[in-house]
Order: sequence, then C-alpha cells, then structure tokens
Amino acid sequence: MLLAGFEVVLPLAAGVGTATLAGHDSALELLLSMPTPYRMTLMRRLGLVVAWPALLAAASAGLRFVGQPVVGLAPLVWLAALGALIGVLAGSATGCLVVAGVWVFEQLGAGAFAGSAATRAVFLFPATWLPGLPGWSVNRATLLSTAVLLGVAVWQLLARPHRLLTGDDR
Amino acid sequence: MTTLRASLAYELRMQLRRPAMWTLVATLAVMTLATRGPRFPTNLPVPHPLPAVLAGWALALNLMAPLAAGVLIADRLVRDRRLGVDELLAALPASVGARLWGKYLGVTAATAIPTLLAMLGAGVYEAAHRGAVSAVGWAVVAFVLVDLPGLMFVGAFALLCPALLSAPLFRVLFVGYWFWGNLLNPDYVPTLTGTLLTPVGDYAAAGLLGAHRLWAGWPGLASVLRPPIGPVSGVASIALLVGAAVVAVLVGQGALIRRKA
Repeated sequence: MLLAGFEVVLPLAAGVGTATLAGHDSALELLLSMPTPYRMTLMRRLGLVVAWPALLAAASAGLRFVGQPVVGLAPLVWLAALGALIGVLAGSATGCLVVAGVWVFEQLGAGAFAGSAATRAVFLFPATWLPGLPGWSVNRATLLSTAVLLGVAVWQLLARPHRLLTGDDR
Repeated sequence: MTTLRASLAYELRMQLRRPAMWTLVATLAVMTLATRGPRFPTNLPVPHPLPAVLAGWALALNLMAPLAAGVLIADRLVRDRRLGVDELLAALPASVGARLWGKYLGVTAATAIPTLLAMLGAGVYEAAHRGAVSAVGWAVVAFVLVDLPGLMFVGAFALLCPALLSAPLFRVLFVGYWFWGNLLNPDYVPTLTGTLLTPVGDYAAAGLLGAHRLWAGWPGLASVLRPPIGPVSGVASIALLVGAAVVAVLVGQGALIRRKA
C-alpha cells in the first residue's frame, strides 16, 4: 500500500506544486527585472519541486522492483510537466484542476486503459492498478518522452514571460 | 443583510466570470460521460422510473463536479490576504460573519450553476428520450437532493481549510480525499466511501430517488456509518452534509472574529 502511494500520490503532489509555481508569482515583476532570465529562475524552482518526490519515487522503485525501470518517476515527471504547462498557459487554479482531473480520471478508468496498446502506453499508474501490464517499457518511454516535450513547450512559452503578467490568478 | 447580499453577489459574479470554471467543469463532464458504465442513465431501459434515472444523472455528475468546485474555491478566502485587501475589508463597518457567509454562499452557488445547467440538459434529453416532460422537474429535484448538499459540504471546507493549510497543500489533500473518500472501493482499503458523510450523494440518490447505489451501505469497516439504504438514511445523509458545512462556516467565522480582535 505504501509503495502504491509512491506511484499514485507523489505525482499528484508534484503536478499541483508545479502548476502553482508556474501559474502565479507575487514577485513576478521584480523577477523579470533581474539579470537572470525568469525562465531559468522558474525552471530551477520547478526542478526543486520535482526533485524531492522524484527521490522518494526512485527509493520506492529500489524497494519494489530491483532491476526494473523506475516505478513512480515517469508519472511524476509527466504530471509535473503537464501542471507546469497548463499553469503557464492558464494560471495556477486551472493547472491544478487539469492535473486533478487527469489524475482522478486515470484512477477511475484503469480498466479501460488496459484495452488497447495505445491506451496502455499512456496509462500513468500501471504498477498500482494493472500489475503485469504488457508493454511496460513502451509505457515508461512514452510517458518520459512526452514529459520532455511538455517541458520543452514550457521552456518555449517562458521565452516571453511578460505573458504571465495577468494580475490575479485566472 | 446588505453586506451578505453584496458579498454574495460579488463573489458569485467573480467566480462566474472565471473562464477556467466553465471550461474545466465541461471537461470533467465529458470525462464523466467517457467513463460511463452499464448502469449509466443513458444505458437504462426506457420504461424506468424517472426519479431513478435523473438521480443517476445527478450522481454521475457529482463524481467530478465537486472536485472542480473544491479546487476552484480553495483560493477564494486566502486571496484577500494575498492581495492585501484583508485589512481594508476589516476596516469596513461590514461584519466579518456577513462577509464570510456571503463569500461562502456566492462561491458555492457559482460552482453549483454549471451542475444545475448540466442537470437541466439531462432533464431535457430524458424528456425527449422517454417522452415525459416531468423529467425536467425531476432533474431539478435530483440536483437539490443529490448534488447540492455535497457541493455545500465541499464548498465550506474548500473555502476555510486553505486558510490553515495553504491552497496548494489543500488541493493535493482534497483531490486525494475525493478519490479515497468517495470513489475508492471499500473492499480495497478502509475508506469513508459509501457512508452517510460521503458528499458524492450516494445515499440521497439511492435512498430517496431509487437510483442504483455506488457504494452506499457496503459491508465492511466503518459499517456503523453505512446503514441500510432507505428514505431515512437518505435524509440523514443530506442533514449530516449540510449540518457539517454550516458548523464548519460557523467555526471559521469564530476564528476570523478572534483574529480580527
């Protein structure tokens, strides 16, 4: 149960954390006036938010699946990247809600995701809900590669950080 | 009363004008439709009691709608402090209690409106599908009995808890609670799912309107809180949810008055 929690709970915490950070910053005007580009500052902060649950997820993988790919890292990185992207695009509340919606949807629809190779490849929590799922490596690779794409999108959007100057969280 | 009305109207308008609320509630409704099972109202046979059909719709919408409500309401009270208007509002002759109740009723009403509209849509669909205009009336009844108590319960805690926990931490805990305490199979882990205190509205839908239950009355741990399904347990569930919401807001009101003093 504890190990299932690592795969299921930590990605939610990371996703909400990145959405909150990326969507709103009370000191944004000040940070934009600094010589360090804002996206460097934000990426470092996002890295910290992802790092500590990632360490716990890696530890859980060591406990449960010695020699197998990391259990909780892929969903964690994927939801964190999604939260950051939606946070930058639409604000903290929207980012948190999208992360929450995807998280609950995947918990409820675990059986439906097992149906085809395409849905199995994007299912976030196979170790908890579908142990022994075929295509494990494809699933991990898909999640990690799409997370990188989401991260690149965040990086590109932050090239014009003035778009974040919208006042209150939307 | 003027303060309450003004605060209510302002919070209602402010929440209704958030594009995030409409787009995301619509997305969650689509997700609900995408995961529909064999007992989903659209799959029920045509000669089926209308109250049960519309209660099924209300229950299905309540799987996700309060989740959106809780996440969106979480920053409403702490926002006043973050924007620095808390002291300004405190200097007004308006009482803390009236402002808090107005804020609570306003944000809860605003987040309930998309669900009400969805229920009216379901009512119109069922009226056409089953040839009974009364389906629209039953849609409103099902909304009031099944959806509204849960939204009031979630709204009260989502408004007040972030003042203690911070909005991001509350959101993580709330989403986890929503899945654990409303949707998770009680055979899997000890959970509040299927109890009288479950805001998803299982007891009201099954006990008062005859819908298929999700987990209400399920045997196992916490069975004291899972009495047999019936009208009495349905009313008890509504009373507990609304009562807990009122008590939470009263406790929050006391805490805010102490802080102001």
